Amino acid sequence: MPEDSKKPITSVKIRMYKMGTGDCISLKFLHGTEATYSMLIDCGCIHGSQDRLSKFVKELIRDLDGHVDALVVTHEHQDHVLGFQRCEDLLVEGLSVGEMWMGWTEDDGKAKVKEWKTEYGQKKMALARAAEQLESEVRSDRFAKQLDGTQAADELLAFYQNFADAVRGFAALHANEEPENYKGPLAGMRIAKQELARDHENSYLKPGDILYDIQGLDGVRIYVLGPLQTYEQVDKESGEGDEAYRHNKKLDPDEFSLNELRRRLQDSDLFTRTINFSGDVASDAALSPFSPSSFAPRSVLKKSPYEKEDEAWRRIDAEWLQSSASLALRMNSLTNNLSLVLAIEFEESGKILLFPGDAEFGSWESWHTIDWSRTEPGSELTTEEILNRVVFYKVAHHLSHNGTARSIGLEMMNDPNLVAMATLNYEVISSGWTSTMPNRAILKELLERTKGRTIIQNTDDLFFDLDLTIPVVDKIEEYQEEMTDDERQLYTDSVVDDDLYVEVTINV
Amino acid sequence: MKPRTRNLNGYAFDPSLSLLIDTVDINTITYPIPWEDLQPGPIGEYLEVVDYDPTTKQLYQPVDLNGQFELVNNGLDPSESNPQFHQQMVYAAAMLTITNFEKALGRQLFWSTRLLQGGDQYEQYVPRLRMYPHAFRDANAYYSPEKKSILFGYFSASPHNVTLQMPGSLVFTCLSHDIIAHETTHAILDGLHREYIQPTNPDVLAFHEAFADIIALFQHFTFPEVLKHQISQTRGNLDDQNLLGQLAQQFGVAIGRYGSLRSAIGQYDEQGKWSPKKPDPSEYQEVIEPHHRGSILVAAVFEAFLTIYKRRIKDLLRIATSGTGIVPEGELHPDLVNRLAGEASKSAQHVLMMCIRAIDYCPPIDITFGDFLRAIITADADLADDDKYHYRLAFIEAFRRRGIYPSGLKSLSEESLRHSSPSHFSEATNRNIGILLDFLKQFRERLLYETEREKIFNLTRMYIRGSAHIVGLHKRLSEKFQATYEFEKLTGLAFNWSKFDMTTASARSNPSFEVQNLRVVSRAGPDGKHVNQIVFSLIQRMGVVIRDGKFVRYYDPRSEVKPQGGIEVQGGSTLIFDLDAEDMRLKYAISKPLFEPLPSDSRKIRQPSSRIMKQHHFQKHELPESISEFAQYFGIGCNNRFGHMFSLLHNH
Repeated sequence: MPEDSKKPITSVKIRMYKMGTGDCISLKFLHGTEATYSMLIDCGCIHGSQDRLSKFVKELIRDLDGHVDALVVTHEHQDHVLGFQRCEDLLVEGLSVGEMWMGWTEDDGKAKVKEWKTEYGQKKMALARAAEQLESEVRSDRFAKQLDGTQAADELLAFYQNFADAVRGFAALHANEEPENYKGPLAGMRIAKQELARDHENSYLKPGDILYDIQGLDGVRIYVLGPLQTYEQVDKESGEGDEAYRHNKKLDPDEFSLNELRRRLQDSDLFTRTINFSGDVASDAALSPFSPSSFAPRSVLKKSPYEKEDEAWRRIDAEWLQSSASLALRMNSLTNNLSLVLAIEFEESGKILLFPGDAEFGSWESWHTIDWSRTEPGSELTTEEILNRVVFYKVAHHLSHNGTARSIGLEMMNDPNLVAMATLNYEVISSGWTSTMPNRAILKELLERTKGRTIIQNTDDLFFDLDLTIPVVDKIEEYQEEMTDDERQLYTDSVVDDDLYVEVTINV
Repeated sequence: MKPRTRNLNGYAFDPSLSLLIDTVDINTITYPIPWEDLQPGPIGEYLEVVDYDPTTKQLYQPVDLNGQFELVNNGLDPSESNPQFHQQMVYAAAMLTITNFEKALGRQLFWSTRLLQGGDQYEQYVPRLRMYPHAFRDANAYYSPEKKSILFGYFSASPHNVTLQMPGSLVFTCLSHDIIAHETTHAILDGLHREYIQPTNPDVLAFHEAFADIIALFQHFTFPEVLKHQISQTRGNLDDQNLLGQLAQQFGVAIGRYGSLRSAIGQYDEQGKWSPKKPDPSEYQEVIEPHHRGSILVAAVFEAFLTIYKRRIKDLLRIATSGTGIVPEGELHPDLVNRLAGEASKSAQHVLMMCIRAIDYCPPIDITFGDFLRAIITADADLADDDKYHYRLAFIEAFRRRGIYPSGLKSLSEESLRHSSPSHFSEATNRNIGILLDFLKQFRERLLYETEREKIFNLTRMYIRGSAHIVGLHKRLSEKFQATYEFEKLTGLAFNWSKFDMTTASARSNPSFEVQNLRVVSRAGPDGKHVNQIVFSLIQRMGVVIRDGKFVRYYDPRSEVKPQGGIEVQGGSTLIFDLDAEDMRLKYAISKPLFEPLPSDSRKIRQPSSRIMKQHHFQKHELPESISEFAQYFGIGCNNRFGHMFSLLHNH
């Protein structure tokens, strides 16, 4: 293309739909007032009926004129793909796709990836089944009766029920509604991958990839930071840990990474197989730890302390199902860390928009190990520099503690005009999430760094402090006072707050 | 006549080491357990092993250790595939832990009671801790305070080291000595100090973990067989402390996360050489996460142990090397190996005893590492006048190097660390103490020849609550006690509301107490010195309203709904009475005050103690940031009264 016919991007309209906790974000790249490129990143929220979600999707299709140049699906969690499932018809009919970008672990045309995904599917099925069993156990009469007579039995029962609810929330995030018939990926993921009409093959991206010369995106380069590919750090979601680092250069990186993913959940294999097994566990040689000759006859069991009626409070019939909670948490982190992470750079100004999906600490950490000169010989670019230049940050994982790394993440974003956008909405949220989102320290840090230019999907019922006395909106206002009048005016003018969405325009 | 002990085969580590040619010989040891009558299970006086597996809905045939083959063969032979051996292993390692506690504490152990519906005074005696060797399918094991049970999991291995475990093979947590000892210690500690699961300062939960780990570690070091092996492997520098540190770290790592606390002891460098970690005083200031923080305490105690061991083997080294300090080439003389292992095992036994004994000298609530250090020093000085190997100094030094200082002390000398005996009381205070002494004399007399645990439990409860014939301790405290400033200062507790401005009409007339852990103690020291004491704790609850970091007022949590900014706090005091002195007397009051007492100024309202203000700050600002992700997601956070009970469950 001749130099003078180029249309460098001058601004981007970033729109977050208010579907509920979860991501549905569209980007319109503008050259002056002319839209030259569009992108949709995820379309989901934690739960919602077709009815409720349709109005958002209709607006989205209208706004994008029925076509999106790039559809990005960051990772396979319901709060990022449910919209595709619920509004399949609307989207299939109304939205055409230029190309589709996903992380390399979604490339199930590759036998190795497919094999791993099938195994991971078994974990999802186990989680869903265990959550269901746990739920029905803690709501059974038998369970309540076992707590009878114990101090604060009601509170204890409520505690267990909340626990079960939280596990169910995680199960719903990972698996379709019918766990018994679990087959393959989330429906929304399948629809996004297969059903939407598109012009090009799907692209599966790897860390270190750089996309450029994209038609309609003049002067834009897109850096791929995640999902990580050598996985030794994948479960370091807490920002701590002293795992041994192992490198085996002889292995194919895909293979190595997938094996590492397997290893992360391997100690739950026995649990998984047991839950997924529909027959009698005791008589299955592969699942029973001991041979049947070591089973006591029923008469012995009857006389054992386990069956004493006045000691029913010590029975442990449902305890083993609680293992599903640690499995849920590990799967949650694992999938979050498989998020496709994109940093969109505007060459002229050097400004960067960061879309990390729900990446957790392990992923953030890996971004810094990317050697950009391998993709671009001679380049001295570092990931730290990328973070230094971030002017827009889509907050990872709905403001949770693990979503945003501090010292190797947020604290490197020093642009004075930083804007942040968080997809948190207490009206539609999973049980158990309200205790982790928003993380107060992250929220505070964000407000400070952005001078209050932090846009939250819905601030209703959100409080800045744990005593629930200072509404987050008040705090945002307070931080905004640190902007100069001009800055503030500029910012206010750049935001459009509608019933269905909130949109911010970033000049690049 | 019944035998003194029942010897039982068991693993010294866990089954994985039986697969290594290097360690196969030392991995099977005999646990000498004091003889008791056992039913199949085994079910004895303290423990009931109930091998019901809810995942298969089967009870695995309970082992009968009185069977003729079992009796002649030290029980069953170690076997991973025989659940009956698993039951035996759980029984043996847990009983060893119990025996060590009873030996150190000089009294019988009780499990924490089951609290019943109807308020704090309703509780049920729990004679036996229940052990479920195959309770679930996960890489975990935990003590459940709710069920008074320890649940062990089993899982498919995902080993870091594939030479130790076959990937995918089954790993049973109930076969690891360290896991059994660790969880049993949690249960014992819950029976001794049930408030230690309330995170009132950053040390409390860390202490629970660290203490359990210390017991498991040093109990392990008391097995000379294990040490002999390691020592005989050495060449050259015999007082090379690395050898024991390395060993400490190896215990428990085979099953993944269990050794985590011990990573603080040292680390491996790139050449695979182990070196001890340098103590870093800033760690104690900065780290809040319970496991990491607990590891600081474990490292401190371990360092004290090494210092003691080195001192004890100095002469042996001189003899062995003719004073050169250089060991000749070739294998060590087996006699020397024996003696060195013997000294290491003895040092471990002493450290173990010192740490356990200290528990009776700890405050009933809100423990800090500094409190634990003071307790170790005081308890040991009571029992051993002569500290010829400088054990106490070794502890003080190790704690000091990690920046662990007890609050409110001017120096870290042994003298100032020892709790002092209160004396020179006013007449009114003496009368108060007299009321307690009267009671304790009666109580002691009645209990003197009682050995049955359940009877002791029931009598103790009766003496606290009172009966038709006995004026209970509660009644004595609430009716006869005259509140004196001196006594309030001593205990840090309130004996009437007059200085608390309890204007709420519904506040009850007098502050109430909980009496915990009333025990008659008889201990023997290393030089044969005997200590006879009575110990009990007073605990008081109070509501405090704090807004913007400033104290507003008190409230009575029993009669007023929690107001805005209100937190429920506790004060407590462990009172130790000496029975050996000519006249029985109050020897120590180890207190965590509720308020700052003010001398004689009768008009002023008492201010909550700085400790309470710190607790408020900690629970408000630091704790929420430090609780695990697991706890946050599954509602086990700070706002749930069961939360911390469950935090014991899932943190491995």
